[in-house]
Amino acid sequence: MYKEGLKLIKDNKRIDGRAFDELRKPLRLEVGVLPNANGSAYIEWGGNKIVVAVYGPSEVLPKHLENPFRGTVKAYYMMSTFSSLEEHGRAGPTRRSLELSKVIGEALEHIIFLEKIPATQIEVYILVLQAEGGTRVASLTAAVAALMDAGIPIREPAVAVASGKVDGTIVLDIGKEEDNYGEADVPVGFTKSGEIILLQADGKLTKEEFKKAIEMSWNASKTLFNLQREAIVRKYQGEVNISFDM
Amino acid sequence: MEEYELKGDIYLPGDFLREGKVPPGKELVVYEKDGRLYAAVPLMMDEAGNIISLEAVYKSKVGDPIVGVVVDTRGPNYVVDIGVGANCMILSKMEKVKLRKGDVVFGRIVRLEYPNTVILGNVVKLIGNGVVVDVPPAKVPRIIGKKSSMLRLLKEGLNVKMFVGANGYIWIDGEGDNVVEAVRIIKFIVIASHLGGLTERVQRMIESFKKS
Repeated sequence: MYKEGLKLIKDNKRIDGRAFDELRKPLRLEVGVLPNANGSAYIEWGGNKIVVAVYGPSEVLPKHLENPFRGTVKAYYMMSTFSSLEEHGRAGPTRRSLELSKVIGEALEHIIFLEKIPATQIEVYILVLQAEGGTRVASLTAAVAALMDAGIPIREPAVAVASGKVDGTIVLDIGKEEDNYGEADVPVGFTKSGEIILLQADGKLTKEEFKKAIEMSWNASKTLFNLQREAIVRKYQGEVNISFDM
Repeated sequence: MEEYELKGDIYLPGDFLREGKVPPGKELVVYEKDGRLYAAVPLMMDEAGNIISLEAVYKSKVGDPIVGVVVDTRGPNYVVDIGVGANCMILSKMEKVKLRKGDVVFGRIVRLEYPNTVILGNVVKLIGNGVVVDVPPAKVPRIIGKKSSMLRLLKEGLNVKMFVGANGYIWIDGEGDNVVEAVRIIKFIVIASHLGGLTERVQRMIESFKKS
């Protein structure tokens, strides 16, 4: 999509005033937000606000999906009707939400020890309360934190972050305007040891530009790994509040 | 409010713990790669190398005590909800109890069936106006305590009957207020299970409840 006269980069600054390799703010992650779920997380990443709930391991339903040797991961990505403008405000499963459920679920399959929990299912419900571009990467980052909170055995943590090309420049963590009117968008998910578990691309990039985008995302992923660690550790540190309602 | 010390360092999935093999019963908590031990869930390790999981999923073992709720009596066997991934059954031919839907039972796992079904034996029906509380299975050892010290403290201090299942279901029966207080203390143990000085704290909670 091209918009006449729109300059996304001015004086070496992006449209929201960020540097090229800067993540959006605020960046906040919290775990254990839903008491009835086995594990949960809430992420605020720029204008994105996403809640993730993890249930399981439980009995696989419908039964024909049961695998006697491995567990099954079911991810459900949903956008609330008030989360954004345009088609994102539609209720029910859409082409987009089915695609994102698939890629997030498959990314999570790579880090969970599914062979240790045979014939069970893990359900990951992702609800986008507010969207501002880059919800799939924010969802994956929060979903991994929610899995840790649920005590599901995983190999290592994973995060995701998108890079892209805007006005001929490679930039990190593209927002809504940059996504809509920019030239390319590459969401990429990493495990802590550097394996890529999610990679999509939209737009055109040369080999060098693609390499630079992946490198930029990898450098930024360290901030996100710290974010996850702090969120989990925070749950167990500090005072314990016992004046809760029954 | 007093400060409570953590009992060890916190490790996250993928963190290197120590050299060695996977300790028995910790298969879902740690994993081994090239003779080195890594965490698979958030856990604590003290200086002696003992591993205490902060969160974990329940893996059924033969001999585990189980509290469950009967959900289906139509087939040849009773189907029991135990709140974890495994399907649970009571073979009605082997047991003499007559059960109805909604009954709470206590038993021990006598057999594991491929791939994910457990068979309960030595089943007793829990009679009375008890309530079933659901807690994460990883916190059950802390609710029972060393040599069931915490459980005895709760039972004798509050004058309630309690049956604790390794699956995380706890059945409590007694006088109205005492049951409410027992549930409150159990929920406190769940959120404070990783901190030291828990028994003293629970003792004080019971004493202040008795005075009121």
